[in-house]
Amino acid sequence: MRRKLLMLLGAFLVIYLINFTIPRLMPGDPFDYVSSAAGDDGSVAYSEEQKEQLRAYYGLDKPFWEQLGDTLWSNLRGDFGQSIHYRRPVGEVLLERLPWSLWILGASLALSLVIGVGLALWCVRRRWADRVLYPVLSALAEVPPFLTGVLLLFLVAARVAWIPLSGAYTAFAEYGSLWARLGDILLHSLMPVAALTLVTVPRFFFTARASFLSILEKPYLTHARAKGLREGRIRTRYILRNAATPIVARLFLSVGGAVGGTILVENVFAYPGLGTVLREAVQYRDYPMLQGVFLLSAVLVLVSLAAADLVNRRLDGEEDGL
Amino acid sequence: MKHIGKKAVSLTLAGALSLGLLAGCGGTEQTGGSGIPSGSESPAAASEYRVDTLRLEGGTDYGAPNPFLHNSRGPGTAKMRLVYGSLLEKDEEGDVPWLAESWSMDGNDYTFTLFENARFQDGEPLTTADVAFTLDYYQEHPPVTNPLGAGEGWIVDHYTVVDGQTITITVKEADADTLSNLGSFVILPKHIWENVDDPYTYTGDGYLTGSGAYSCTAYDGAAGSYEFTAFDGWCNGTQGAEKIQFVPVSDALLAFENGEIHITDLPADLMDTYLSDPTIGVVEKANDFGYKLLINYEACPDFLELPLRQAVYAAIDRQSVVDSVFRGAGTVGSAGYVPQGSLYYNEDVVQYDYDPEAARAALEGRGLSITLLCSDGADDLAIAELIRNGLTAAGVEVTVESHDSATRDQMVNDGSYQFALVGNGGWGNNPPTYMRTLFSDTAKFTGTSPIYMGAIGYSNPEMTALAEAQAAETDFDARVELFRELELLVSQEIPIFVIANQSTYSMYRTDYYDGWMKTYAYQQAEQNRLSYMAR
Repeated sequence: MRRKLLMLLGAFLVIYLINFTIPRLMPGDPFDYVSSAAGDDGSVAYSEEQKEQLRAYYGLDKPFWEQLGDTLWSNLRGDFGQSIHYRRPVGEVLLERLPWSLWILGASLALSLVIGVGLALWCVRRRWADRVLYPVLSALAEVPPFLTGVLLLFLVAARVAWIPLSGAYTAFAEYGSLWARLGDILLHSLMPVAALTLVTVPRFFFTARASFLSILEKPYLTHARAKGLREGRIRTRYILRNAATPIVARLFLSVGGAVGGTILVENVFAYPGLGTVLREAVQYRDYPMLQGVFLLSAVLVLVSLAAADLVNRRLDGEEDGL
Repeated sequence: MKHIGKKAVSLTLAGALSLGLLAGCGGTEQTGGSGIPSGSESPAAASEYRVDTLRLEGGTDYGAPNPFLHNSRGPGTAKMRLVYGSLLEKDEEGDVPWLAESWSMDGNDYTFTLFENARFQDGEPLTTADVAFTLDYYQEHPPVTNPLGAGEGWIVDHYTVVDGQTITITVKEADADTLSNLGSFVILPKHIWENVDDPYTYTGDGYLTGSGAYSCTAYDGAAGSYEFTAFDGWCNGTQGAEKIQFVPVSDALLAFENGEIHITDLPADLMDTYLSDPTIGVVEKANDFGYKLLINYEACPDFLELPLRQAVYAAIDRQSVVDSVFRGAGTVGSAGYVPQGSLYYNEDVVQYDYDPEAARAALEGRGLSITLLCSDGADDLAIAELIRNGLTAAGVEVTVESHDSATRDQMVNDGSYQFALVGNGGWGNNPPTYMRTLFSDTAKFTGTSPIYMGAIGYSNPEMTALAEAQAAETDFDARVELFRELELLVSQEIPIFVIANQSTYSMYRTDYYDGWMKTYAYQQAEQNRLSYMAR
């Protein structure tokens, strides 16, 4: 376990260095981008004097290693710098956006887990259902999340009056109760969560299906059936329980992919999470914000990997103890 | 330990859901805290205003609407200018009073007299002490939108406070744009900012207390929603709406159809559909967006020969850019740079027709090979392809190199290009403000802005003299005359190629609110303060 932790720490340090370096290696400059595409809005064009002042203010006039040292020292003190584009502390923006991303990420993963595993369990002894679902979910697994988002937006949300098209809640709404507020939030997350769930369900389905199929051959199942146990009991107590390890591992391993999907889907539905922040940070070369978002995403994925490892160990131990 | 696996899974899932829901609850708080002037607005009855609420497309965080915290894109500036007042404003014809009721000019001296009842949104009177303080403060801390210059480029020499209402600002060197520049910086409340050392991070008390016609009553950066409420202490006229709200939408056209927003862009392809509806009104941003082709003459010295430059125009089918890329909404670019429809447009500029035979005669056999830099936007790539086709047919080998816009801009600023395609809005703005930086050898931008920079490696004393003279000329008619001479010369010498200008349109429902306008210098109706005033 100690070795694993050291590996994670090493991975974190490498990621930290890459996060700092990559944005600065990107061509483009936070203060040079002023052109626009048709329909977009133009920008204030800074004079050379003003650019110099701004570079000095954000510490971008210093040598690379000095910038790295300053950033590291600030980060250690919990200061993630000032966003060049949003003109607010990076930490403040991230804290404001992170919960929204975590909500649709967590909700879609949980739903995908339940639906994917449920469908796999249902198909275990229904060959016709498996024959139908397998190709459908195979195709769905290849659809990019933003595409399911766009399709849901135009085919569902735009046609159903009560489904909000965008945002995380009704702007300027006055709620009569906490429940009304929660309802509004849940309703707004319906489409983003559905879009993410649709593309995540197949992962759990295939993992669970493979796991179940391998268990179906086990002698203890034959024994259980020979004992006359009910099919429902066999599925929950024997099949599901013994197939839990790869499914739980899949849950945590899915976090990395789901983070990427969340970022794309948030942009489709103008959902105020990290996705929209990341898009704008890349577009405007907002170095401190890029570092912040990448760092947060990396921590999220590393923690998930560590959690997957931990849960697997405990489940394995549990199985050994059976 | 037997059930720890199950528990771990359950707890993880429950935790994620709870965290999300709790976060969701917290996130609906309107941010802004104590900075938003809570007691400043006591909205009068909605009947005072033409409409209760105007809703526009939001969803993007353009920063807090104060002079130091809004972001540098147009909508960020526009929101800040709703909250903060400047001395003057622009209407369809020229400069009009805003916080200053009158003004006069005498050489380098510009004297402004404030409205007697001008005050800030916290009720404090707005006097020339605040104007003077703002000048001093901006010199030390330049705001995002900065018409006064910075460092060596600071345009003010000194000021003289005559009394509480009148101030004379003396500039280092007056030119035709000085009044506009002095009239457009926004006034800060001295009593709030005099104790603030770092305005770029300040979000304490009064950080959104403005001097404008609307106060910011809600700002939610995460949702990109803003609410502005008519300030009942405003000194100069009545606002058109009691509230202006910017709300997040995923598809603006759908939102307009559903009545969620009251104005939006009208796509060229749908013009016939919407214009047949008598309740739909349109504000045309005529030729406001444009594409130009820059040549780096240091990298491509062959093109210093005028016949070759003329052949470049002849090789490019610019009408097809208008027809196929702009869907007919626009015009072929004027070789004199200023687009058709502008007050300053000279209709006598040289016209260059598409003439592939003439282009081939001039360019074929010269062994010319160039790289065309462009952005990776769909329209940019389509136009770059049309340019490539035209030049290739004329015998020039062309390689198209595309990058994202930020990279393209930096490469242009660095001079790392041979030919570069650049698109930007604002062509319908006041042309004199940009012609000098494009065509004067002494004042042209190099390395600071791809949309306002001049041609690298090209020099023309006559063009420089005209560009400088028109900028210094304060008599309007004389300036227009000089300006048109400059356009004619530019069209003859063509150091920069204008490919085409695109018109875009904003549509609104006339039966709800029809106050949308464009000024003589800015065509974005949604970003003009006077669009939100009862006129």
